[in-house]
Amino acid sequence: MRTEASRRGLLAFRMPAGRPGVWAAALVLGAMALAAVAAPLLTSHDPLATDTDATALPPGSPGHPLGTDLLGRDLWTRLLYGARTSLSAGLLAGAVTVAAGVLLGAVAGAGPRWLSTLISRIADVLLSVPMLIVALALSALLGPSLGTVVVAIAVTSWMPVALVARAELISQRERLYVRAAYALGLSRWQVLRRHLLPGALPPIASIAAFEVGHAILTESTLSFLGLGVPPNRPSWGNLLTEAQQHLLTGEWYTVAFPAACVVVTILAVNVLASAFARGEGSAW
Amino acid sequence: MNALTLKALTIDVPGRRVVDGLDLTVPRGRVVALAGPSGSGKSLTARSVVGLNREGVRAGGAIMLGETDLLTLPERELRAVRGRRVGYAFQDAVASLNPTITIGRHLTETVRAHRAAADGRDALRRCGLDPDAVWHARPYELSGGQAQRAALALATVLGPDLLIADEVTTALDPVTQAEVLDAVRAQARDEDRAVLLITHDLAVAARWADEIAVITEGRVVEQGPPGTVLGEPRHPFTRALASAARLEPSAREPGERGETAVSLRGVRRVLGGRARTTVALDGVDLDVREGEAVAVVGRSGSGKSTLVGVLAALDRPQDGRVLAGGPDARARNARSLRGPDVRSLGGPDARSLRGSDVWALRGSDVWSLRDRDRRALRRRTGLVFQDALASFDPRHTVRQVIAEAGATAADVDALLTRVGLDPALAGRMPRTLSGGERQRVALARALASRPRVLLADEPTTGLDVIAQERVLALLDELRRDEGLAIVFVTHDLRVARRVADRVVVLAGGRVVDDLPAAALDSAALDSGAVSPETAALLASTPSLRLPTS
Amino acid sequence: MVLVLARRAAAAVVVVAALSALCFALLDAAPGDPAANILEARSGGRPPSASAVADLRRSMGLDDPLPVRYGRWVGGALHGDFGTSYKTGRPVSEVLADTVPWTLLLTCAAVLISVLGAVAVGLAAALTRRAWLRRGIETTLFVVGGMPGFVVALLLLWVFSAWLGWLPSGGVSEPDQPVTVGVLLPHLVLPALALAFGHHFGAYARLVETGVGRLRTAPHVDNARSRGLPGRVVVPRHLLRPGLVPFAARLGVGVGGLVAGAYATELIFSWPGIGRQAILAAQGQDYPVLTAIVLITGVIVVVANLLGDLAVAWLDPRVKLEPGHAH
Repeated sequence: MRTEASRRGLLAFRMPAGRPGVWAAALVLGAMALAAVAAPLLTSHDPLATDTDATALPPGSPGHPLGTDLLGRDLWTRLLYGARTSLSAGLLAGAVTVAAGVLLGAVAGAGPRWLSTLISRIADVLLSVPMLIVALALSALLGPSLGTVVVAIAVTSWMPVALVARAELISQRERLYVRAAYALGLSRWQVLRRHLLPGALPPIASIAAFEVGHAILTESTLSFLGLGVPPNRPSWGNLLTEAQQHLLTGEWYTVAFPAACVVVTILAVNVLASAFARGEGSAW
Repeated sequence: MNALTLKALTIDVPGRRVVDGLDLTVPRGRVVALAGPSGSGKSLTARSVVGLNREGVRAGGAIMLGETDLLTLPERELRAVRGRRVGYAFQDAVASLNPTITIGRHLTETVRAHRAAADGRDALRRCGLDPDAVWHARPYELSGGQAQRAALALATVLGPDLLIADEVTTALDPVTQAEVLDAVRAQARDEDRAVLLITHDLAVAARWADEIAVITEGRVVEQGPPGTVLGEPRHPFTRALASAARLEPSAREPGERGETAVSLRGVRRVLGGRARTTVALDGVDLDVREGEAVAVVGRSGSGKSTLVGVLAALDRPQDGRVLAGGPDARARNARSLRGPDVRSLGGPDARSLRGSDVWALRGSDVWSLRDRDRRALRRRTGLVFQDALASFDPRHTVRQVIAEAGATAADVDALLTRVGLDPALAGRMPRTLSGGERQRVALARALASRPRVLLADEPTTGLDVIAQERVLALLDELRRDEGLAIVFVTHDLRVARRVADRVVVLAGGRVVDDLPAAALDSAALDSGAVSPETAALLASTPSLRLPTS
Repeated sequence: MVLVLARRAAAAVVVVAALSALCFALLDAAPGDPAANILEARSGGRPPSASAVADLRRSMGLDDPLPVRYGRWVGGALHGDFGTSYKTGRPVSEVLADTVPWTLLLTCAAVLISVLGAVAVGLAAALTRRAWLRRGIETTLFVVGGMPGFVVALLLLWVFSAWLGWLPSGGVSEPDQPVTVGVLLPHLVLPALALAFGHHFGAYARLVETGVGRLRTAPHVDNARSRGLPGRVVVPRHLLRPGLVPFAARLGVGVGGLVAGAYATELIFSWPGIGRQAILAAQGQDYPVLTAIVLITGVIVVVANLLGDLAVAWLDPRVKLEPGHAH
């Protein structure tokens, strides 16, 4: 009873985005990725270099389009290099999460009953353990690093993917049209290829896309708390940690730009994920 | 005195006029049936009386309840009419009750909302329920028949002048249907209410209504006592509807019976998981010969659908054997393989065999075969389901659906024509087709691999009588022209009599009767030649044959 | 029903036990020598001598095998003794007594805001006939749902504290002032709002909207209307109660997320709860404090899940409270 709807609700925003919205989201993500890759070409500053002559410059200052922080580091440069860290951490963690989730979900959906029960029980238990606790323990144990972040995210986020994958495979298997296909004399492989996979993929793709957005969000949270990427390596979350105190002293832009980057990226990913979900719906 | 009078009623949904100048009167103490096919506007009409239409639906004309025009009433006064002067019973009783509260709570909240002094327990008693048993039950804990009676009690607890029964028995088996409709009629007879019975089933209307109003395309085309409307229909549509609903067996020559197509021997199948198991089939023997139509009849839960899965070689019985061809076919094989003429009679063509000679498999136990041989056998068996749409992959077009069964592009067109559809439909998605069209696409798919056996699991249950008659006529043709063996599962004895030569009655997973279809009439009932289960089905099945007065 | 609940509670105890064991083992494997850490803290940063470390290790029983130490720790924890902090030397139980009530206060306030807000917003979106309003709510929820909790917190802090100056920026009271209700309330507003709106609020409101919206045309609601029931009966009993089931089912798990979300929120608003304490402990490798806080959080989450299950069972009697509900 509380299985499907509530589990999908775990990450669920299924707002149907119009076509222009989907294009815009894809464009934003493409531009972000490009800027991250081409960071050295887009700025001449060093993200870690401090400049005591140019501290706390407001946006629009000559040579520093987005201004500088209290140590005189160029904000634009730090955002670009931060995008490298944040996007790659999000994608890497998302990919690991999705791969692990789909694999475990497929095993649970197609494998023997005891294995299915075991996996879904473990997922249930882990779902009730807050992610941050595990991340906290892992980070205390392994020390803050990109690897820690990826491991922490994967360990704490594979469950929704696995449960959706499992539920989809099982529900597909019980559809009448699958039975009808067997009645036509099709082999298991033919049924899997023609009916089960095309039916199960869109929801899995959708939840996978949400997971990538979720991974970016988690990475920024962990880094913000000082449990993620080490502070000497700029990431959006790190920038926010350092800038937090500036909110009350007037340097609002050191908070606003990194925060906007995080939010825009996650929104763009979620728009794409919703589009996948809608594709699934249109089949009916 | 007329409790309800509809005058020149019009109902518009966005972009379309569904009901166009409908006139109807429902007097007190009488049951008036509004009968018509799906899409004729009968449910919209009923819902308009209580103002339950969805946003964007507009009603015009007049709906007179006694002296009050309900269409002109403000919302507040209309609310006072609902429940108090008009009671409404819905199609799916369980779904029409709130699953989170008890039956008793439903009744008391209704009484309290109108500040009335009615007794909910009395209402339940009047509808044939034991109040102590159901008062504290929640809707999903009741059987279908109980839930529908509870819904009736709820609709009539405040003693309304008018009761609207909107397709109240569509989902019920015939025995339960008869009980519920008797309770509906008692509301008119004993309580002097006006009853408006909405139904698509003319036979139901004929048996339980005092008057039938036939509706099509948003107008009442004929209204009168059942004998007149059905006996001497004046309007062409009424004639078509009445003849489709009569389900008269086509005058058919006995036809030559071919070889045994499939046999079951002592089949037993148990369903369910670890917690609870039910024996769905309990030692069933059955032979079906080519060119023969066998109807399998029984109430819900009698094992009908399980039988289809076993015959289709999809579900493996725990016990017993499923034989391709008769038990003696293997011996005959040895002989017939020598004569090429017999081979061509069966007609296994090279393409659908895909390398394994089905003919050689005849007489063997399906579940002792290799997987690929079993799949070859499945190709020789066509299967159609009650819910045709759900049996198509939602991503596939009609063409893909049929092509999956091994048909070429030319075959698809030929098959669609064969089942009476326009080949131009091949590019459409099945969900855009009507119910009757979908079922014929399902038949086209089933025929694509040239089966010798066609299994049909309640293929006409969701269809209105006219669409049903077309499908049944098509099945008749297939049996006659192609010599197919047809196994037709239904809960409706009339349909069984219409399509089949033989009727097999299932109860509790056993075959309790196996009779020629012609033997199923009231004479059989009187002579006591049938089992009690068959007798109950016969007694509750409404008939269009009018009582000879 | 009682039996099933008992079984769930038993499963919850197992979860907490497993969590604590895992945490204990993980932290035991962490680098650093607790005895050295403690001596360093006591002496104000001077590196301790090897013999002093060895003495302390013996007296603390750190040389015993892991299961023995875990057993001893569990025995102590059951009596409220979680050991002493490596950093400050204070008993961990004192640290917990100082911090847990603050977190509970913050979380309860946030849950209240979150539930009431989600039901109100979700209902408005589900029941309105104005398409622009529904669309606007959905878009807003979508944007809020894409914001990490700490971003919501920073945004609120900036708008209401830095810019408008309406509310204090952190802490539970003015410096060196006693904590009174009058002072506490304004300090509670921003962190509670941040916690409520920064963690799954959009998902909650959407669950309410779809749950209730789906029922608007349900046969049992038509039936209720056809019996002339007034809106004040139809909406709460026939629409809300069954419509809130998916939301309630999600809430139990969500409260866990909220407790975890309190970590970042407490840090930003200098709220003296367990979350802030946990971050400080993790950064300072103060393992006894961290282990105890993980355990306490686990208990809170498990209790919240049980309460959520109870709420669902009350709303919808069809739901069987079975441990394996994934079938």
